[in-house]
Amino acid sequence: MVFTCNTCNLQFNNADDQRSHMKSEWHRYNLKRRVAQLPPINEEMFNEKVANASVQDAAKETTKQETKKDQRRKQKEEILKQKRAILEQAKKAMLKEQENLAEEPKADQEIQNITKQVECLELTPEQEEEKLLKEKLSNKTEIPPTTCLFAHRKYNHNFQSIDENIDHMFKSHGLYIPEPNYLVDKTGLIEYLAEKIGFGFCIACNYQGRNTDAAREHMLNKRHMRIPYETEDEKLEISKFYDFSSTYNDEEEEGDEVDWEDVEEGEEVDSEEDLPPVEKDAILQDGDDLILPSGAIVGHRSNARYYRQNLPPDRILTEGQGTVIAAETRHMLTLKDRKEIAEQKRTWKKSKKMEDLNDRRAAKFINNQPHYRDQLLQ
Amino acid sequence: MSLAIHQDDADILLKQKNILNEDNLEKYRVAGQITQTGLQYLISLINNSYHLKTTAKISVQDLCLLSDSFLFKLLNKQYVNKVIEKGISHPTTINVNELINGFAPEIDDEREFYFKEGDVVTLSLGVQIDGYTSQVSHTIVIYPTENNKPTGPLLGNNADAICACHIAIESVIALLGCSLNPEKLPQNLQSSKITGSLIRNLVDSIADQFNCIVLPGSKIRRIRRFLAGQAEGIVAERDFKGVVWDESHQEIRLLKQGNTTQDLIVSEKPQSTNNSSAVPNDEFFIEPGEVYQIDLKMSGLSNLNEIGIITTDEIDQFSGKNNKQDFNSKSSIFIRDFAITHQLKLKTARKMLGEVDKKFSVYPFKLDYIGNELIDNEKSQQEINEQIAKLKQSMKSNRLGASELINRHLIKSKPIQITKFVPLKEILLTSNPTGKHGIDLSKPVLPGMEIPLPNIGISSIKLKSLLKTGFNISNVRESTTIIINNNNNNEVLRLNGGEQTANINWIHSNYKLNQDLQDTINYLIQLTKDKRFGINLKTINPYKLKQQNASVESMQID
Repeated sequence: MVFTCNTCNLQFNNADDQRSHMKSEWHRYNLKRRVAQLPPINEEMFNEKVANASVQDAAKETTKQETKKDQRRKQKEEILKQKRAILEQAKKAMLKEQENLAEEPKADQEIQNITKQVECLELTPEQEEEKLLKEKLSNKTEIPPTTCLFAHRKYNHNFQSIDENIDHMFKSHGLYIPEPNYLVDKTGLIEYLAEKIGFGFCIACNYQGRNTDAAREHMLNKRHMRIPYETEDEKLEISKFYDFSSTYNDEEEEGDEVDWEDVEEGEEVDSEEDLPPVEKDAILQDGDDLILPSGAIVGHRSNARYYRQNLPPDRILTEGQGTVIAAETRHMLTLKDRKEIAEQKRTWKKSKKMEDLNDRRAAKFINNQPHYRDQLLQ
Repeated sequence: MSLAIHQDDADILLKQKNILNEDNLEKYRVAGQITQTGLQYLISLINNSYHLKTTAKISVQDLCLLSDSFLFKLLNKQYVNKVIEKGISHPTTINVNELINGFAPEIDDEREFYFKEGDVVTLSLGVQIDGYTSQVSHTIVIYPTENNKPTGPLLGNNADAICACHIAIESVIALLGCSLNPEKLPQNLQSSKITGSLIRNLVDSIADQFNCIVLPGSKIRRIRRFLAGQAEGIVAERDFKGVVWDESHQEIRLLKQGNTTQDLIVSEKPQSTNNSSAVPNDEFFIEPGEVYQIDLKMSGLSNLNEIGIITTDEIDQFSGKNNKQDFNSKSSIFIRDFAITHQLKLKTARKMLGEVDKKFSVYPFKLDYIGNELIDNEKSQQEINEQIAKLKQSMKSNRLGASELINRHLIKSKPIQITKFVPLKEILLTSNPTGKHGIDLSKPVLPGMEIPLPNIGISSIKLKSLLKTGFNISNVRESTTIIINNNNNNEVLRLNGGEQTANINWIHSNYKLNQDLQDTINYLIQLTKDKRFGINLKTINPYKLKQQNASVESMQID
């Protein structure tokens, strides 16, 4: 019988040792590390860490007498000092330049400044956008497809082929390329990702860094070294590198196996004619409906009762008819209330019934004798 | 059924589309030109066959068909693919003597309808382009001729009525035109604005001078796009604006004449059944920028020696079978009622309804318009006969479809009406137990005018029962459409009628206007003679046409 602690990778001879270990600070620390998916550390390391921490704590305690406000004030003062120094330097430099330069070139400079300002003012929003774009483009760093996308330049992760590169990224950064079976343009995909990172974007969350290195830092820290492939938009973003055409036939057959009903194929086809021709072999699903490549809509059996309805088309009035109806003041245009009519019918029925009953009751007392003889007078 | 128009759409359709811009004016102008040409063509056909006798006598049904196909032919040339709705707004009707409305016999009617000498024949037709409507009526006289000249002028009550009608139309045009510069209004009218009552007084006084009665159904009304009174009696039109005559106005006149008003008036005052804007009243002002339809029907009373009320009676295929009246005819003009929907059973009916909705929209139509091309007037007589035979064939299936549509009230037939004189004696002698609530639903009347004689308290049903004591009386009718155009060059645009097409025939009336009225009317008509005098009146000219059937020009009748 061996007593172990899986967290700290230890073995004990008896249960008491194990229990005491479990209560120790070292074990707790290792548990926390485990939660953070870090390997455990041995006791020596732990003690060292504790010692370091206690020294820092002591140092902190001494400095703690100064409040945070004071610290901030000091920082500000330092920054101000630096600024003043810089300003003075600048002044000196300016004075020197003024002494050196003649008046005319100075004027020229001023004019240039003014023209620059004017140019800035003249820029329309569009031009500004273009300018920004240009700046962005100039900011771009080229990443060849055989280079690791995520590692910093200094590591210089260059490979012989794209496959090797992909293999590396999969193993060391966990980049998984979705649907590898249908991936047609592997180079294109990696180039696309490289371009994105080159402009300073994160491939997973579209975070925009200042430059490539910032994006890489972000991706490393956030573990964003993956290609998102969940929503429709994300799929569409990289869809041009894939080819799923080999799967379509199967799906269509599947569709036939499930209970689908054809919804007025003719009409739908007519309506589709005006639209640009649907990409061949495309199947779109819209709620319960399937839109076939031909343009026909296949509906589900559960809605059959609605498809079977034969509703009259809406009455379209010409302008003349509309005018006459608009000018019409007859009151018969309002629909009679069905409930009211039913209620009225019920009342009639009831009163008729009562009448009949009365008649029958009265009929009992009718004297049908042809020659009436009063019983009392006999 | 949820037929309702959104308020915004209604504003566009009822207001903005009626603003007289150059585009709309041009449509009115073209419609006017087509009616002018159609009227000229129809008159020349009648003159050629009855007066000049260059062709065989043409029957009424043939005249209707020829005129309609002529109008269709002219319409087909205009606004091709530019407007969705255009067509005949009033199928050609030819009402002889006592007939007043809606007589346009179908081509497969076997009876012989020809004119006799001395008949007064009212020709009515109308077209619309994109809903801008032009409608014209004109009464001509059939004369006995001698050497291609009429032997003498028309005399008697019809002459009085034609004269009164003509003068009334001309002076009303001038009066409406005065709305462009009201300071030119005659002083003795004592009004600074042109109101409905002013118009009514003018027309009534002219009719009185000629011993005439303005018949029920006469009106001077504002027309709008698609709302040209084609569905009166079916659609109760919002914001009706116009002067309308009916039996109650004759009643008021009689009560004034007799000076016995207090005895006759029943305690209740006349009151309209509802107070919506669909009920016509005289309290309105004529405003520039509006289009008016002046439609006056009159009857002369000179050969009558008793007083009475002139009213209208509907004729259908059953009338004349129960009493002495010998004339009957099926109504041939139909109009769609858009307020009603119904799932039809017959295939022919469904097909017909679809075609009616598409082709004729809100305007009246005849069965021979449906499903086939009308005849081509330029072809030879034999070809025309073949086409007519074909038309007659297709009429049968149309009848079948129409009967279901009528039963379901999807289309309504426009009744054929005649004018009848009912002596006042008979009216006063009857009892009227139902009061004024017996309303005759088959008679198309404007809302608020359901009771013909509100003061005496005679309902329309009662008046209908009294018709058998009355007798037919002939009538004349003149109507024209005018635009009071306040754009740039203040002008009054007369779309149809006028001297060129609807020239007055040779008549002689024994009556004369009294001095006062004559001065007013002379002054008014003087205004229209030249634009410097006050009113810039322009009449649309007809197209210049080659005479197809006869090379002889229409006869000059002075």
